[in-house]
Amino acid sequence: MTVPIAVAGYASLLLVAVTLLVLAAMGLGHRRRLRREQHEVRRRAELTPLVHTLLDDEDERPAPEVTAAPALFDELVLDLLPSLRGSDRDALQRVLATRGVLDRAARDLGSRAAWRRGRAATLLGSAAGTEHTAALVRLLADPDADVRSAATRALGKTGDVAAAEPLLAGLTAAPGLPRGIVGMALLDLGTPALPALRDALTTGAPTAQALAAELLGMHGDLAATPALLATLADRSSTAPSCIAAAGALGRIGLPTATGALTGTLTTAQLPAVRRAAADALGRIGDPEAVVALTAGLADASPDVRAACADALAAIGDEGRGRLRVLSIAAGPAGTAARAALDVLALAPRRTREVLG
Amino acid sequence: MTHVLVVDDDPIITDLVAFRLTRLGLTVSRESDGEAGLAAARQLRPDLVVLDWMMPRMNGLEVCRALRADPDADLARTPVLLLTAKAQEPDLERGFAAGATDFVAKPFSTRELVSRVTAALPPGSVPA
Amino acid sequence: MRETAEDVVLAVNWALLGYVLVLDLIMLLLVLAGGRRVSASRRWQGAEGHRELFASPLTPGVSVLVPAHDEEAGVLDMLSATLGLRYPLLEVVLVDDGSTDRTFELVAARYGLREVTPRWTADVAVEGEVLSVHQATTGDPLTVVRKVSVGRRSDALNVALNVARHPLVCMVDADSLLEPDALLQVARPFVEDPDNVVASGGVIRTVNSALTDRGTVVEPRLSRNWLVRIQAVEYLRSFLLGRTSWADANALLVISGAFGLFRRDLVVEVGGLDALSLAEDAELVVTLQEHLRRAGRPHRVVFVPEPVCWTEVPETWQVLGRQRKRWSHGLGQLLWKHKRMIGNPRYGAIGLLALPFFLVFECLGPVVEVVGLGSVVLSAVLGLLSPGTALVMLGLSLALGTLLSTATIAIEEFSYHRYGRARDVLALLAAGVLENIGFRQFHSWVRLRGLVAAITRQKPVWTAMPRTGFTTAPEEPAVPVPA
Repeated sequence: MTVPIAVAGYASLLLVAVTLLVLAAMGLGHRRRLRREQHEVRRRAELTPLVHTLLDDEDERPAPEVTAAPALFDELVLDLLPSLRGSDRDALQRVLATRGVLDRAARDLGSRAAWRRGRAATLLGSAAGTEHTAALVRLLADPDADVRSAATRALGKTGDVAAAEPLLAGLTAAPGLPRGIVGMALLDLGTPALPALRDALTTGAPTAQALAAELLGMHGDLAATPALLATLADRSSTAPSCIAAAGALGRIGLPTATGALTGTLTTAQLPAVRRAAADALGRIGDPEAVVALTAGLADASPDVRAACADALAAIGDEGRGRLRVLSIAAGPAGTAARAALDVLALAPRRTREVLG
Repeated sequence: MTHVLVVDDDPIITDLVAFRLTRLGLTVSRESDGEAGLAAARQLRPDLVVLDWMMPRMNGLEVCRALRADPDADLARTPVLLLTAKAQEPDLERGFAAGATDFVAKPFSTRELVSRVTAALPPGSVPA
Repeated sequence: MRETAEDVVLAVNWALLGYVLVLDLIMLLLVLAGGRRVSASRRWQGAEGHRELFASPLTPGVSVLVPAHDEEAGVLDMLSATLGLRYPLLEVVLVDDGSTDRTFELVAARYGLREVTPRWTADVAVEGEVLSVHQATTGDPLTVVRKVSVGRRSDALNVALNVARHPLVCMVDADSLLEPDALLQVARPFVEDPDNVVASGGVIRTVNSALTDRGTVVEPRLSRNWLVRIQAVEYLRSFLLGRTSWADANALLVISGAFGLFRRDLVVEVGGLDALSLAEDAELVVTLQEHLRRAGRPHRVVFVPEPVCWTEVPETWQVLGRQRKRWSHGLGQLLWKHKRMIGNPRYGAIGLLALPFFLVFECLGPVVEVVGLGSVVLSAVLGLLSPGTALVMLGLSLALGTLLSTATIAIEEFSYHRYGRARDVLALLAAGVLENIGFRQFHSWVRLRGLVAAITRQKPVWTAMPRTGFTTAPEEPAVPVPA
């Protein structure tokens, strides 16, 4: 049976040859890379001061060295751009526009390569104004998930409030956008997005509703309070919506929400929802909640007990007094109370425990 | 000459801040991590320190605390400006509790930075 | 008669060799596929949105759980690095699992620990008694739990789970160093897709002899120890395997114990970590998948193909042997416990791809390799196989193995080039060759023993690995580094 041996022999030789080729390629690649890196370091050092002088220029017309600078210059500007805002940012954006970078990026939005589309979207987000909103909105339905995410982020950065609705709609429309990225983009849009968020809270799909609630809470939007209370009261609200609504009411801080939240704390089925209610009551700090929170110390879930104890600690003298009374008790309620008091003792300067 | 020490692990930021402050007529020293920054502060006695928060080896908060706890009263009084992306409420609380004089949130505006630096320094320190 | 015997022996040997070669070939293809994705993803660099994650109030908090037993050598560095991670909201829960050295004293001194009443957030079953709970008074979000050791890491982690407060938990060993952006990287899938993602994992690299400074890896240096070098190649290869684009068969890598981040409420729901498992992290992933799939709930496991965690690997054959035997034992337990998932389409990619892959490569692979090698050698010795044939067989196996290692290192060199010094790359290449001469055989033998232990239901024992601490940068003689 010499044939298999011969085949095996040749195969071995072939493998060794391929291995050697790979090694050679590595060696060459390594050298080339080193040289390129050194070159780039030199160029960056030369071009960086030029970029810095841009920031001082009140002049609308760019200096000739700027227009003639190589592509690396754009990279340096783009590196700097995310760290800056205000007039600095405007100056850098103007330069990119003059150098045609933005136009090229706009064209790349239609490129066949996904990474090109994605990078173009990211660039336009950092560098452009609102001219490209429509094109970016179209990318929200791009077949590639990473491109959709890049477009979402970019829309947030451009600050065009017209993007708020498409973003919220994109949450549930196919192919869909990741909830967190949409959330960050909407936050970036700031207070102009509030009307769209309030709308989504009352009429949107459950995912949009939960996200809108969360964001309205972060904005501390008082006007949203009725809708948030309605969400809590609505039996058909999903758990994420309830949790988000509770969290938002806590951040907004109006004592009018205390009643609804104590109701949720006492009656909600899921521990996560009860916990959210307890956290919110702690943030609001209304002494009316002390009774319900005390009862909550006997909850079946340790998480809820801990949250109730922390909330009591945050409700001033009444809450803390109650904790001290309970701390003598044995059992889980007593442990939770003592734990909350220990936390207080450790951070005496904090008048309100900021929860997580 | 008024001397400012800039400590940030991101060279893009230190380069920019150094450039801007030098334009104002200030002398600028740079360090790229907390420990080196603290050592430089002790040695050079700057009039102001611009400090990033998140840095390897020793973060900005630790540097700030160390400065404030220094036995040399002059060094302990050095104005410290925290230049950081960490600017939520709890972060501001911790920053000021550690002894920071002021906060500049990233992304920042160099014009704002210049104003705050000027305000934190004794009057007449900035030639421009 | 003798001829028939020879033919049979030859056929058997070829068959065994064939199995090994096919496995290697598949590995090679997977590694190349992984390499292709690496280069594709590097184009995206800068467009991933980490900066936004860091500054965003939507990013959920992370509790880092650290089980520690006799870790005085590196615990302070590790804590310092972990508390300094670039992440907006985190806490560290360190469990002093019956340490007999100065682990607790060192931490207590550095962080001004004060005893407090435990703030329980869950009641997962724990065996070892909890002695006390402490909080740092330096303003650092550090909680330390002292408990009686029962010789199991899972017990310590379950205690930490009961005290953790944030929605996400990650379990890191006291000898691991996380990259500054590690949490941002592995938390990203949770932020982007909070409704579906239940676990995510990142890549582990070997830290032995890397230049570290107060817990940050300054420069990844290759150890002088050949065993460590070979393991470095291994880790690189498994990293690339994880880069292949099998939808959520990415769970593959989280299963093999890569650094992981989980949703705390779900881990508590499944009762924490399995007390009997020797591969607790991997077992957790599979249990979560099984539990959630059966309930028809979202269960996405995402592998984040970035190096995020540096860990100390064994430096001696003895310790390595124990570790690999334990892993193999744990894997065997896992496969047995979840046997209904293997090849079961109901469990999607984990059932159809990941678990069978493990069965074929990790479980049966060693068996065939050991038997195959034994068979070839025996046959040659008995004269049933000509020495020339035997050599060619072994040579072919060696050649393919070497190509596999070389391709792995080449991809690393072209993509991340984290080992900057040329001499380190050359050492890696040499290690890649050496891996196939001796290490691979030893590894297969040890894994076989682990498998046998799993089959015979041997009682699992968790013995600590001797710590060598981290190599500190030359100008920093602060931390004592025991030999």
